Amino acid sequence: MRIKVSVIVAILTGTIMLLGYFIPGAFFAVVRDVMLRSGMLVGTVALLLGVGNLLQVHLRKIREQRPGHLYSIFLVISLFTVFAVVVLFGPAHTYSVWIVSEIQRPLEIGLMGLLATILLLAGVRLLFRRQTLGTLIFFLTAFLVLLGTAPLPFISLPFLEGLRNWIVQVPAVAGARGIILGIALGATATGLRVLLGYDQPYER
Amino acid sequence: MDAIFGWLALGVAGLMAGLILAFSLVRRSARPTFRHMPPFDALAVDIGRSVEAGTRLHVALGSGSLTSNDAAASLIGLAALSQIATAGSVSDKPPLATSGEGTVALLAQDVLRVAFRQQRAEDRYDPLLGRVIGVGAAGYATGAMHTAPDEDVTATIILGAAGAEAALIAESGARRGTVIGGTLDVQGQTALYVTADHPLIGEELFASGAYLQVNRAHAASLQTQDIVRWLVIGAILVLAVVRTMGLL
Repeated sequence: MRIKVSVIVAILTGTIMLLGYFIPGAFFAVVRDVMLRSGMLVGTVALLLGVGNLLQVHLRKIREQRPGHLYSIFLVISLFTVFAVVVLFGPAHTYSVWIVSEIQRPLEIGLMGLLATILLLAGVRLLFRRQTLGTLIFFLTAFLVLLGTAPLPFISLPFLEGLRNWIVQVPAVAGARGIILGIALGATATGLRVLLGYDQPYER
Repeated sequence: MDAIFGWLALGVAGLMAGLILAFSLVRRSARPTFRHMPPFDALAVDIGRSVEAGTRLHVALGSGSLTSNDAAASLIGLAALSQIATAGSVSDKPPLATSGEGTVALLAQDVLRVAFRQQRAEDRYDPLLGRVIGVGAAGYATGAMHTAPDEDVTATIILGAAGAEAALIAESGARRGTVIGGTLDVQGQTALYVTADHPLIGEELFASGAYLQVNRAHAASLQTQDIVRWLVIGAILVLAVVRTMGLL
């Protein structure tokens, strides 16, 4: 029987992390801390490899002149520019902070604006695409919550605010908690499968 | 009190591990029957279509890492990818896996490589089929939005850690074909409910391994989740009665 080192490492690491999480004590805390730091270090190296992978994808796109390769050229230039600025001046320098606050953040905010529009349009489309009881409840809830949140011109309907608060605080929270409980069970089972050596999302 | 809860939680984890082991080992011959779930039927159709028509599937693994709280979603995405890649590796356009995190992308490359090897198609394996397309949630969503039109994708499968930005990926994918999506984040699930053709709600994401028949342990863990769910329901009811009676 061939025993793989990667499986033993995964099972041992996972078991120590699990025990350290539940059982108080200096030994587990220290080992857990060392492992977490090692994991973060590996993650950082993997991030660099990921950026290398990203670069490779876009360089190929430029080389093969695929549709949208102009965007890839822009991405490569931006990547090297930001990298050079951060390496030369440091991450806390005004130039680095400017890039984040004046370019990256507005772009992300713009993306969130796009997200709101897309959700609205997709919501309207859903009414025609999936006509089920679930969709009806979804829209009725969304409509009542929006009505209770948005200020209405000329009229005041305090019961709508109360209804909105009840929906948000009772059925919505209850539903979300139920979903989170189910997710917690699923996540635990997934972790246990790795601990038991059934799932090996690494070299096989 | 914290120590008691710690031991209790460890006991639940131990019980679940025991049940997964038991169901995996004892019921080898009997395959459990699960309820019908349309998203997985749609996935089977999409995989078949990909092989027959030579179209590409995009498996979006999200922007979560393996050291964060949403690692389970990435692991489930990778397990599902292994089955999708095994079936789709013989297609003219093999499945493409994208991530917003380096370690997950590396594992995706490994999963794809193994799938190609199992199908004796190693010569067709391209490491860039598993790729990072943007770092962080917003960066990943932006990159994933362009994957469907750029790579001629006809089905987008979102299985991983993603928030509300999953709607951007789903919307872009929906313009080119089917979208199946599940995530851990409740906001992400709401966004996918509206935008995806086949949303996976709640823990349905964790059922994907069992429905795609990744291995026996996935079916065993789904059975375990069902049993522990009933125990949790019972505990909630008992605690609610006890609290109402003022005993706790």
